[in-house]
Amino acid sequence: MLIIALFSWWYTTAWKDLGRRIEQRIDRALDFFSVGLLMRTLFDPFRQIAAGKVRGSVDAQFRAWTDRTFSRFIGAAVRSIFIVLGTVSVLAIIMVGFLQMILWPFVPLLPLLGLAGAMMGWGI
Amino acid sequence: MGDMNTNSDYQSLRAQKARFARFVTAPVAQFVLVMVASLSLIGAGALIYLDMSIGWLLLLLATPCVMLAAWGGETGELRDIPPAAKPDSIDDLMSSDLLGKLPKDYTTEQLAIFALKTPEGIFCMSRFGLHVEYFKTIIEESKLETGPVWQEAERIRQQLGLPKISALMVLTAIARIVPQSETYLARFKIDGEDLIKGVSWYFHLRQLISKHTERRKDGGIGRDWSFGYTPTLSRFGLNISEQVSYGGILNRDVEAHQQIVDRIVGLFSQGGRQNAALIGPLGSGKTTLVHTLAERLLVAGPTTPKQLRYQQIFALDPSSLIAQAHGRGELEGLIQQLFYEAYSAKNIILFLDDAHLFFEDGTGSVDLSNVLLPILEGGAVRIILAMDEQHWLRISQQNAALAQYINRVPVAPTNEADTMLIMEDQLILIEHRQKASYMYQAMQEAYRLSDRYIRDQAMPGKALMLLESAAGFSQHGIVAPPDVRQAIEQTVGVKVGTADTTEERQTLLNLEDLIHERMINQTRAVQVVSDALRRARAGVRNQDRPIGTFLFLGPTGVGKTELSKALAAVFFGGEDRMVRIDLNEYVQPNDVTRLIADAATDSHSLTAQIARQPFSVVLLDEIEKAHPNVLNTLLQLLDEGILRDINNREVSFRDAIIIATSNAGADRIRQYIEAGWKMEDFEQKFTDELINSNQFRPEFLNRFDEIVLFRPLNQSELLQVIDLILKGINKTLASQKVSINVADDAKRLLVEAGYDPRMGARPMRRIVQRAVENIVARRMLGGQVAPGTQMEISLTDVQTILGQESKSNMPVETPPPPPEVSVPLH
Repeated sequence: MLIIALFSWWYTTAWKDLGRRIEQRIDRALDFFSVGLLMRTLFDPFRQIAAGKVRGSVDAQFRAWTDRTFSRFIGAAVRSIFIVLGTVSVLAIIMVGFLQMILWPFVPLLPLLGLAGAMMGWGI
Repeated sequence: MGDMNTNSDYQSLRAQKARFARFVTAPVAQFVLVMVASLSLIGAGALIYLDMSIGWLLLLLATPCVMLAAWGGETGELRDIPPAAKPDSIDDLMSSDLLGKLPKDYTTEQLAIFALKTPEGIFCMSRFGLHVEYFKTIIEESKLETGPVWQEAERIRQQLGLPKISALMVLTAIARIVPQSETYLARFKIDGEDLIKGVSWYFHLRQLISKHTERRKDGGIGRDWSFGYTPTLSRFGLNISEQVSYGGILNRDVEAHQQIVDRIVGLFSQGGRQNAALIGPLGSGKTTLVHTLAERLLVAGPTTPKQLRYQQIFALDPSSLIAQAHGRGELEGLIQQLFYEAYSAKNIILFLDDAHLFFEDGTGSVDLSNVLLPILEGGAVRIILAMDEQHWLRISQQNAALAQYINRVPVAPTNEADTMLIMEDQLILIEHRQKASYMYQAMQEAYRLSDRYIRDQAMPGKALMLLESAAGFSQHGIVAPPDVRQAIEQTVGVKVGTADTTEERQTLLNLEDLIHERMINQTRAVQVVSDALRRARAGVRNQDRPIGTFLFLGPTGVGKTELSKALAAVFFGGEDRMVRIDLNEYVQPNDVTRLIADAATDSHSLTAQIARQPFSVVLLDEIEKAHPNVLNTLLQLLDEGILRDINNREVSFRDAIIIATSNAGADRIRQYIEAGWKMEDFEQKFTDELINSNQFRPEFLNRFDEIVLFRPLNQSELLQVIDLILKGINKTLASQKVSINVADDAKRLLVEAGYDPRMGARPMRRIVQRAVENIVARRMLGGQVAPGTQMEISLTDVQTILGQESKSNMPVETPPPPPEVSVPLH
């Protein structure tokens, strides 16, 4: 009775829960690397280290524009690095999760594999 | 409940799983399973690598261990077996921790005992004080069957909308359905509804803890890269958002507070003035609201507008800024720098607590309206201000333009239900800080007492403060209602609990005797007052009025003041607990302002003294001499136990005994007594006479609980007064190790010499003290008294001393006696 309950749980709720946990891991990784946020603000000035709107001579305005552009360039570079890092991490989590999902239903079958291996004398 | 089968099936799959779960979910079992699985897998790998095919067999051992470890692990089914999708028996709905413990055929008593062994059972015992013996007793007395218990538990489950019938619901059901359940529960100062609230509280706490342990999505490492640095703000301010992100806050979304947070979010997400002034009394939760807002912006859920997501709230402490800046110029510069930084960073909301300190000049405050007004007007920086109503009114009166630019958001004190919910949540933190556990009844007591006795704060702040301070009085780390009472008694300095110690009960029961140790006769007055006090301490009085209001009428020197003093001493613990107001000093119409003056201007006004010391005897002496305006002011006091001071601040007299005294009709009382009337027979008639003679208005007299008449003392009572006075003298002489004994005939002489029909016993104390003390002094100086001796004072001694005094005091010419004035009373 209990063995049936265990198997029933393994192939239904537990499998589904595993999928949900992998989903949560991906979600957390995306949040940790701020992937969505960094993509939305990719060309924003980095940490506002540039003058805002400047009134004055053309020269002053040009200097401010140069500052802003430089700050945006720095921002885009830093953000791009982290977007790539985040994306790689998420891909890794997806791959590991996919493997887990694939292997999960075969775990209860491992004793059969063991029995066969022992009987057939399999080696490496 | 419908057709639900309330019988348990011991062999049902869910019951088997629950019993199995007890073993598999145990930490030791989990450890063993994980170890065996790991070692088997490592061993299998190693053996297979070494070309020993027997290693494959270890998979037979590893696999079940892996599966069982997962089944009973943190996320496994056995950890918390879900209820059946379509429940048709009680087993399908019962929580697995209880189901796994129940034997095959169990009685209601066993059910209760097993329920008490679960974490919820421990919660029930520690929070409500309902222990095994209590349940055993009520089950035994009521012969309660399990069927009705399950039916009631299912009803509770449905009422609370919870998925399973848990142990706490079972215990609540038992406590609620036994006959006379309310009587049983009343012993613990709770009722059935409190237990339901307890169930709700337990599951809410579990939810809070699980939410708290979840990793929150706070935007990640790149969250603030689009926003500027804030070095000055970090130095002078406190980042509330950072605090919240580390620990989070445990708060219940009480409706009133959620509405306020929604309002602030609304103000900041619209195009109008980007500020909000939280106006509410101290303790109403203004700062907590800002923390709640910080958390909401940080979590950035779907209800948070995009422009507010991940905004940081920085609290600026005006008093610390004022203290750190040298002079007004430097302070203005610093403020401008802070605001500019907040503006440049683009993700800062500034929070100015006690904001009034920036809007008015005074000690510890600087008026920076000229700096702040353009900022508030421009709306470039989001600002939250917090201050109380009085400061807001003053500022808006002084600077109308400023008030015009500020969005006022009133923060009202929470009601009882919300305060209880907030306390339930905050208790986790308080218990952690204080290393104590609180009973549910302690929370109720904290609400009740703080609501009644703490006036300088609002709810929920004052209840939480009292709850926290009660931890210091707990025994064995469990805070119970008496500890809360003790905490407030230490704070306010008075007794607030109902009589519950044997000694105190005896005091109350023998109040008349105790009072008569200090004063002679006046049994009717003593009786009336004692009854009122007993009612108050037993908790059966009207809580919205003073403990007692009495009008003492009678001649001078018959014990009116003495009874008031005795009450202060016996009931409140000392004669200094008497606030005496001589109303003959309040004869002008504008004297009312002196009566209700603010403590800052006159610390001896009636309101100031009672605000300081609410548990007092208030003696309003010679009330007939007060101006009618003063009497009108006192009417509210007598009626509702409330008097408003000059600043319109309520001062409660609900814990005071109000005694008004008057000599009005003293001669009439004497006439009645001399004519042989008994006090109780002419009381009403006499009161009517007072009204008819316009000495008192009927609406005034009707405000008193009792009108108590004091009669003149007769000769034998005066002799007893002499004894009391001599007792006092002996007490003083005790330090000299001598005592006195006055002969009876000498006492009679003292009575004759000291008694004045108009002044009563009052001159007697002076005469006795002077005569006896003079004799003692002479003997002591003459070396006639050795320590440890008792001095005998005879009639001759008294005659001698009184004779000498009368000679020395004899006037040259005795004026004629004044004509006897008889004031007709009707």
